[in-house]
Amino acid sequence: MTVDAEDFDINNYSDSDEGGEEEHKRLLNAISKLDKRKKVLPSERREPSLQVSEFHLSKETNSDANAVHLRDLAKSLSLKASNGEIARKLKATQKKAKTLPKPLEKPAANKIRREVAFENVKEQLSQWDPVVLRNRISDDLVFPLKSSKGTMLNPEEFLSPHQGATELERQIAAVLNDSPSVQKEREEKEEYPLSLEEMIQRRKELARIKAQESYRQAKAHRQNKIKSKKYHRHARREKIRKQIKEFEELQQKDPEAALQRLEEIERERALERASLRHRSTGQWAKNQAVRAKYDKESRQVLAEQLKISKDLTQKVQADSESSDDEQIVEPEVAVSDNPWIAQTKTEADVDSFLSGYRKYWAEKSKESQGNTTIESSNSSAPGNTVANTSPGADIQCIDPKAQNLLDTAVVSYSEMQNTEDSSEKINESKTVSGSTPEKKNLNKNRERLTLTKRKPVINDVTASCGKWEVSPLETAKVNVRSLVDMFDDLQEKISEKAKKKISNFKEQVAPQSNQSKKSKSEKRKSKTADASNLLEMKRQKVQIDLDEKLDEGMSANHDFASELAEKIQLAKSDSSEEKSQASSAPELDPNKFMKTGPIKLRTALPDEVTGGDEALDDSDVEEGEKEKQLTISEAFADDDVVADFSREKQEAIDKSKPEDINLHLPGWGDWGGHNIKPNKRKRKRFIVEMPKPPPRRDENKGNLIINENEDSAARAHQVSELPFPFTSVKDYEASVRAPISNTFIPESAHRKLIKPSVRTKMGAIISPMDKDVLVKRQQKKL
Amino acid sequence: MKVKVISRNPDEYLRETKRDIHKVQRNYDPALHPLEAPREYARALNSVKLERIFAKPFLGNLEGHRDGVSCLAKHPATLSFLASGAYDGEIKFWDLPQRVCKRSFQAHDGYVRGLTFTPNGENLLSMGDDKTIKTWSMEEEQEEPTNTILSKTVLISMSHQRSTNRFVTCGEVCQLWEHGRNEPIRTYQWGLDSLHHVSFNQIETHLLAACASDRSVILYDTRDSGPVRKVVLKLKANSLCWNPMEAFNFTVANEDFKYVSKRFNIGCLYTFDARQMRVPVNVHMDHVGAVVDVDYSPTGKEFVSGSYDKTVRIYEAHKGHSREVYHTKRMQRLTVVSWSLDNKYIMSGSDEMNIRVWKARAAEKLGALKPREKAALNYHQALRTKFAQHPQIKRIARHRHVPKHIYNAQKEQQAMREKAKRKEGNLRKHSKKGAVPFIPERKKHVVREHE
Repeated sequence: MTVDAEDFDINNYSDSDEGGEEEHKRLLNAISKLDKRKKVLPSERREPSLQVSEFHLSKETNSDANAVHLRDLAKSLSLKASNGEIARKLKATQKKAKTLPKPLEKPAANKIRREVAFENVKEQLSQWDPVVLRNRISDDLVFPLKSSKGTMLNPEEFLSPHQGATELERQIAAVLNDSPSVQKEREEKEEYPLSLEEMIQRRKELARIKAQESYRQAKAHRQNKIKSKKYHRHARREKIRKQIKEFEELQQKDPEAALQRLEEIERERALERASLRHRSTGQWAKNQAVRAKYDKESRQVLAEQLKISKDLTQKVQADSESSDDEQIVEPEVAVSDNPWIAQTKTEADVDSFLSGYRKYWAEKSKESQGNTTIESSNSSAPGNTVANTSPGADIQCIDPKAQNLLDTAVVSYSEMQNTEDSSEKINESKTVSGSTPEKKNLNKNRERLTLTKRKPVINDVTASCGKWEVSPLETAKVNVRSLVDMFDDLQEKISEKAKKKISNFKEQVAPQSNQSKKSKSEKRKSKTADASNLLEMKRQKVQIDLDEKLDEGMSANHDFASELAEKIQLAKSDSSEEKSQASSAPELDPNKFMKTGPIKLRTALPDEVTGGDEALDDSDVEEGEKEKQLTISEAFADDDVVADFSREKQEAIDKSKPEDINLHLPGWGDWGGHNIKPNKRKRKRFIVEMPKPPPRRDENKGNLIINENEDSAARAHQVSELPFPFTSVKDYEASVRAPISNTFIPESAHRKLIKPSVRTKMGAIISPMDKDVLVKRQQKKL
Repeated sequence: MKVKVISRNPDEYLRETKRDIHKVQRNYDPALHPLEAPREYARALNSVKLERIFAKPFLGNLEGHRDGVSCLAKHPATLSFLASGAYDGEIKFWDLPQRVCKRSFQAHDGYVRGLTFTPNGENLLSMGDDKTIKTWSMEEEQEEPTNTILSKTVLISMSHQRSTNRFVTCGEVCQLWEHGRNEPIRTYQWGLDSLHHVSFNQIETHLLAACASDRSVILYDTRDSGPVRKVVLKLKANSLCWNPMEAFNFTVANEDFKYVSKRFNIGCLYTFDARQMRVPVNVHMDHVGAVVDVDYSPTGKEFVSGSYDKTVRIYEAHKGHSREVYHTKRMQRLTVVSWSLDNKYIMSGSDEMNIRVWKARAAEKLGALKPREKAALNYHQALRTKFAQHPQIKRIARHRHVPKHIYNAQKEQQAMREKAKRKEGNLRKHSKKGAVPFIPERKKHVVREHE
């Protein structure tokens, strides 16, 4: 207050007298000297710190005089017309401006700050909800979790064309590198560098190729290691069969290429034969060679063998022009047993074959031109086939029967696909047409099938051609009759298959349409899904999640007395129930009445008695049953079954009754010895009578003996409570019933079922979750 | 005479090479295997018996400390390395596979209160009752610390922020430090009560939580003003650990008391969701004494707790009861527990100067397994879980032998619990309807939440 007063005075003074500055200062000093109290100077902050002491704040009223006010600055603004607007605004704000309210008390302010901060923390933590939930319900967690920081391959290293494994490959690579075309291409590439996407695509492609090659290598390695001759034999056969099949297809599609391919095959065959067989390297030949020193015969045989091999590998000049002039080395028909040289083809044969093939080719082209006409004329087809097959028989084939079979197989396969297509078409048009038109369509299909099936019989042209001679393994005439039969059979089979396929397809289509509807609705749902929906995710694999206290000896405190009491209680309740039931039901005499009708149980176990006769009618079954009953009654005609049964039951009842406990011991005051009856009174005293047992469950069921003690051993193993994640007994039972052992289910399924839900890598440090998990990775579309 | 024998072609059942899959000539038709379930049940029963036979969790003992073990520190990059501090101020470095002490030095006067490695694993920070924070280099055999900070306040616990150069200490106040600075860069205080445990969140690295002596747990945010929320429990929280895989969950180990008024309370662990701390997510029972320390497994699925009742218990994070209890005759009051970073081992330090190494899964076979062996173990595990509810299997799987003092304490507590329940029931029976409401177990343990 005093300071304020002073200020006031000083202000007044300065207003009144403006001239004497010096005097004024002096006066002030004098006055301040008069005031004995020490003045507190405002402290200065010398270094920046976060904490500002309340003592450092001062009103600084002394320096008010020298302070620069906003209004002073604004004055200069009004000098210019252009700044008038700003000045006016400033004035307005100054008018509106109010002094700030008193700051909140510190605790209250802190509370607000904490609340805001907590909201932020909450928000931040909630980001982790989906990740945490996903990990919680996941059935397959592998720790350490996959982090985004993968080992980055050097792109150049990765992109470099991979080094060939063999010397040859490396040489080829070198040659290719030097070739001008490649270099030119490279230059072009340098001119137009790849975009990121292209790079990625290329990298992927390369990776794929590398992977595929490695797979192939591994497979080849594996197959090479197999020692079984049988396997290799099978493999070889399979390979040949495949080649033949391919060839057949090629023949149909592109006869010219097929011709070339044929030549190639021949060459391969010849090469193979020249290289491996009929030399002196086989076991037999070696043995002969050993013997040859002393044995003339074996020498001869060996020589023959060598000669044969030479003959076989002899190149035949097949050119028709040159063949006239040159002498053909005719192999001797020395060993008639050898199938390889049984019949060699003469040039004429080759010519005829070629002509036949050319003829076929011409026909084929014709056919392709007039395909529709052939298809329309069904009746002419069989005749055609017969006509066509006969030249096929003339041509010497490698193995006509097998060839034919192959042919038909190829055709049937391709046709199956056709039928599938057509069946799809049928299904598309199903809504319009009823069932009868469908059948018609099917029939048509079948007809077309027969047509196309018979055509390729012409194609039995796997004989020699070109420069290499090949002779058949067996000479067998094609039995046209049997062929026709075979075709008929095949036709039936195919038609059946087609039917099946169509029906299958129908079945597939129907649920699919339903599913598509469902999935649509689901999608719609998922669109509206939010955090709450997320929480409804479920584990795919439901497993028991027991949360129980460990048994540390506390639960094993049951004593016998309490158990007995429980049992008695149970029995009482049972008996009361039974009584109430019994009173309501009319009593029946079991001796006079017996139900004999068979009761069918709904069991999942196979019924072994009626194993084979599923196809029988109901009436048949009834008859059979009657017969059985008759035979049974005949068999037991003399026995009194009912009486026997009731006796048996009585025995069972007696057996189950608890016996009284006799605690009497002969001794005190008794005579000892054999055959001495104890005193009646004593006997009574020492016998502990057991309580009357609860009524048996089969008491009023005449035709039944229920053994109540039977499953007491099993009861200890039976589940009494439904475990946690399961909501219905049915589900739980199903889960127990479904086997997981590889004894009962295939290995792959077994592996899947026993996979632990959490796996850790041995010796790997599992670091806490990283924030990278939250980052949504950009999907690279390629 | 013609003798008929059953002969089989070896091609049908022998493998061509060792790598081939076994050929199985088997019909999987379930109708042909009517006893599938019983056979599997028998296998499960055998498996669970064998599991209990093989359950030998104790691996070894690291002895050498001359006073009780006060703290353990796991090396962030080396699994075989462990540092431990004792009540006499000594720090020891251990080689776990060899079970030998590699280095030992006197670090502090009085207790070693806290030990922690820097995230790169090159330095060890230690903190003691002498109010110093010392930095020890791991590289060379130095007797002297590379750096010593004298603190103005008492220090009781410390925790390092993940992958930064900051760490936090607590005592009278909570202080945030940075490497290379000799003064705390931040000081947080809420109330006047001292703090005795502090722990950084490993995922959201700016969050930390501390246990105060006024029975409260305080949440801090280091980016902002500091304390964010406080929850007061019925009993003092001894220790706290954040789940390393679930950013918002942490578990608190609690003190116990008995016979106070009509209520009693046993040592419990509470799992909290940091966003809603009014009610714990889960209450983990089973300890019969105060729970002293808790540590999460690196997978975040389980945690281990050490108690004053001389047992170590392992809990599954979402379950209320322990799945395992470890004890030995010579193990005294637990002071610290720690779960190794490869999820395989548990280290426990106790009053009687020993550090014990346990297997995290008692019956697990250690070392590399052959694929077939692994498949067989997985299969047995699957069988056990499949039949877990069956009484015989449950009985064998969950049976544990406990020392007499625990057995007696449990019996006593059971009686107390029953008494309390009965009394409450009587009270409810004889008072106006709704006057004595049912309070779920989870809501019984938190007093209030401060904003």
